[in-house]
Amino acid sequence: MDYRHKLLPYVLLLPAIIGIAVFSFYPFIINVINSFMAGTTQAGNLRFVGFDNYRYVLRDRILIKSLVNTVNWTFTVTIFQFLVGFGLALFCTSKLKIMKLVKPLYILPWAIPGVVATLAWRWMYNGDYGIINSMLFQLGLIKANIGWISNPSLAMMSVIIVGVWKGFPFYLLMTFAGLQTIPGELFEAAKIDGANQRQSFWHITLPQMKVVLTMALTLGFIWTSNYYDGIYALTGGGPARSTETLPIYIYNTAFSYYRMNDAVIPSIILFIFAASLGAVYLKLKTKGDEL
Amino acid sequence: MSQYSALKKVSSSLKTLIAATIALVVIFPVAWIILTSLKDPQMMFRIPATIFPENIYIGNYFSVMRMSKFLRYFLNSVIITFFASMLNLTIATLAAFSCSRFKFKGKNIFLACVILTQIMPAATMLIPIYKMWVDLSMINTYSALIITQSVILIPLALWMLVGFFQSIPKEIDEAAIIDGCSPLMVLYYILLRLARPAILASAIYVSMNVWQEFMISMTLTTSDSMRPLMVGLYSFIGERTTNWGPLMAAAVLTTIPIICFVGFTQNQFTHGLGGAVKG
Amino acid sequence: MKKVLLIVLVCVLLMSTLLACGNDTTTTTTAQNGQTTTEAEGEKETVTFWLPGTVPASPDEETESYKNMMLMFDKIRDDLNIVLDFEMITFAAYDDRCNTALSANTGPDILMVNSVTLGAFVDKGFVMETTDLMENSSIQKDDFFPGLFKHVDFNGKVFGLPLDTGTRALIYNKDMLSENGFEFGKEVTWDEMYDAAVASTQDTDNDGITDVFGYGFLGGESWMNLYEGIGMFAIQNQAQFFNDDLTEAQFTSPEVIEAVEFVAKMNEAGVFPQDAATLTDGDFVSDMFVSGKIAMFTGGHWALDYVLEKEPDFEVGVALAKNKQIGSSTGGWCLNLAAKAEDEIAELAWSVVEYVFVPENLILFTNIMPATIEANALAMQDSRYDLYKEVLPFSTHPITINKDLPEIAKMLRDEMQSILLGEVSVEEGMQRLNDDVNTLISR
Repeated sequence: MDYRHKLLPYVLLLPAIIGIAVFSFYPFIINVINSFMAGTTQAGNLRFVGFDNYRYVLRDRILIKSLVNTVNWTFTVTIFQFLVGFGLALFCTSKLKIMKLVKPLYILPWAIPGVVATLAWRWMYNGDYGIINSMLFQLGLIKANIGWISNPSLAMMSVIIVGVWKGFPFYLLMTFAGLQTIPGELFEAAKIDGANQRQSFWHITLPQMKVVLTMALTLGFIWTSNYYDGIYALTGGGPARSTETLPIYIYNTAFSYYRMNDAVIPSIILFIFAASLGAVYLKLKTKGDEL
Repeated sequence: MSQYSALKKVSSSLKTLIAATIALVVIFPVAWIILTSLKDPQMMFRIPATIFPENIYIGNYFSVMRMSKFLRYFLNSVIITFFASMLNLTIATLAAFSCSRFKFKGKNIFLACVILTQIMPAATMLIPIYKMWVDLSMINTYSALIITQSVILIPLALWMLVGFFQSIPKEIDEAAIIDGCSPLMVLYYILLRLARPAILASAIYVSMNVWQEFMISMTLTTSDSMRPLMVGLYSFIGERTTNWGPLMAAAVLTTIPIICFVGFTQNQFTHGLGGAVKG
Repeated sequence: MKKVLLIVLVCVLLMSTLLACGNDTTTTTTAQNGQTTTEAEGEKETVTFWLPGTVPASPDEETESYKNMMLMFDKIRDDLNIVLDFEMITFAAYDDRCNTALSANTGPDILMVNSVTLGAFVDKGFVMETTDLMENSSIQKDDFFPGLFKHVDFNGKVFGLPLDTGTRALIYNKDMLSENGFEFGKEVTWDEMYDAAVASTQDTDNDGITDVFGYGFLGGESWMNLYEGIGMFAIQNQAQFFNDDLTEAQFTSPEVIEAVEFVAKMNEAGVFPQDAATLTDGDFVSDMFVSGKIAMFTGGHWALDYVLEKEPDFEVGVALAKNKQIGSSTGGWCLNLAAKAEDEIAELAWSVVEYVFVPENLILFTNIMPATIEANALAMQDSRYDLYKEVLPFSTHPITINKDLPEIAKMLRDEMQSILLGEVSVEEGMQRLNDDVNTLISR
């Protein structure tokens, strides 16, 4: 390769590198440094305290609880979002006229501003004047009002439902676009060879979609684990902290309790955890790379 | 043969029914938001709750429209979203091209870093970023908002685009290079065309994220005239209570542009690879 | 290579156009460079004032208090010959904005700080100590209700001034109560409250579901839980959540336990509406009250106003609950100077503060009860507010102002939820809370 080609990939990458370095890594490093400090410059008592903050945060029993909640939330929501989104995408590839009408509707939950949608759901979930209980009651399905977001055992499930509702269109769009890139000839050839729908699906659709699917799921897992807005608006992490996930824990520590220096510590742990996952992912990816 | 077509008809009708039912369930909360926005204040807290308002009440919409800065908020949202998506897509497409078509040292590390940025909690990043813009004296400027919002979404767009670029067979590249194209020409003439659905999907996703964004916009603006629509929405949430009627109306108004945008562009998704391979 | 250059060029052009047309010319200059600048308008100093609220959407939506506040600002501009930039920030984002700005050494010169966040702001050095400025000032410590002045007094060092306050009282449905055979006097004991609440909780349409509740308890939001919930009862039972020098939590003291047990007792009797433990919407309770679905609740005078405006078809009564004493919690805002304000600006800012505290101005500025004795006597002349004023000397902030207040309030809320939802017993819950809080404050 000539000189131009050697530099070209880096040149193309440069704006992205600069952007990410400045807006993601730089703040993160500042936060990490601060996690070893206490006090503020304004109060004149900024000082190095070593691992003191770490000792305090890692002993917090609420931290463990929020980790558990986070794992529960992340896996359940992502998987269901994916199943619903992918399923509907397959549906939408059918040539029926109704699909054209219905597809924009499926994307709707995603288009509504996040916090408003979740506030609306919160109202719908309300035990006394929520529409869900009201309808269930009028249909004779329940006798007493259900505490969707006031009952600690139900709250997580209710929040998950909203999470799936809000996020599945992402998978719908991604997989749908992916499905479109599969050459039609492959299916025709398979049909000629006598394959039925299911075999086509397993042996053509899925392998062709492998890249898209892995990418969507990886991203999905990571974003879902980091999701804060909606849960906070729905339950604030309650009741009795049953829906408090790590991002909420972090947000509260930083902005509700004003313990900025402590806030980043859980995320550092998460960071290390995800970095290891990322390393695994890369190992798998390099194996699969054809270039 | 007639059995087959009858079966097909039933299957089609069933599919239609299922599709329609799912659609109804999915849009129910959305429909509810719209219906609530049409309820007058008395109707809001009825027990048992009613779905449909007794009388259609458009007062809520007037409250929102009369917000003296409403048009300005709208304009700001449009400007910020448009430029942020453009900037984001430019940077991300170039980077995605680089990552999917070249082998170079550090590529895997770069990609790993990209994933890692998604794990960092956004809330804690805000203050250092804020300080940075203050030092540059660029607080409350469109540039600060646009740059921040677009860069924050680079990992997202990059990831989507890399995946799609990779799924386009490299034979096409090689064919073009044999014909005498430089790599950039390959990018411009071939890849961009072929990956159009993916690029559009990314554009939509990025735009929607920017349109709905609140925290960055709130933090980096100090005057009302620079704020986007979402921040304006928050003014309906008061110290003790939430002004539901106008809030729902505002929600509807902020969503309509997105819906139009998605509606217009969704046709692009149906372009397949078939034509390109043939030609 | 050409193409690369072209793309780079386009990007650069894009950026430069944005940079050029980015800035809005009406921004407050203080926010841009973190320092107050001398305005070009003839050598006047600029003082920036931040307060929470919403700017009215249009001139016809301006409330009286907003108009009066604008008039007051104009007067300040004229009398002190300064440029006064004020910014109204929506409540939901107010604390975050202040925190972010002040930690970057930018933002306002004067700001309203809620008493619950004041502790944290003082600890971080965001607000200025005003003990010296107060020495020869027109406002003095004795002008304030002692319980309120404590909010800004940190071991003798004064940080700002308390601006307003709000007490709470028991608001009840006279007609409903008398139908059930109860009549409240000016003071109501806990036992009377309990009995009346139990009697009022009924299933009026015989469908097996209670639809009228005795007491509207709000346990979902940490502040309402504190001020209108457990905080009220604690004060009425002469309970103290902390010892005097804030070194030890006292959530397991007998008085506190009694107060919590009282709430738990009412919960078990079913007098709270469904979801009470997680309810956060204050207006909801008021609305239920107006529709006759709740017999009584604890609310500030704003809740009373809200209820009376809806013109309910029953008579509304106000009473002061007591166990060992009558008492109420008080919250409120304070007016502070930012620590970063430099000497001249600080003095100007203090003049603005003094201006705000002139009794007539203070009444216009606050739309709950002003914190100075003089202004308070003048404000709210309507007799419906009598009890709210009467309980003021018996009112304090349930948790002494300190830097961990928001967190402690949340922990208290969470523990109350656990108790009311039956996850732990009162003793266990309070012990757990006590341990957690002690760990927190002993860092």
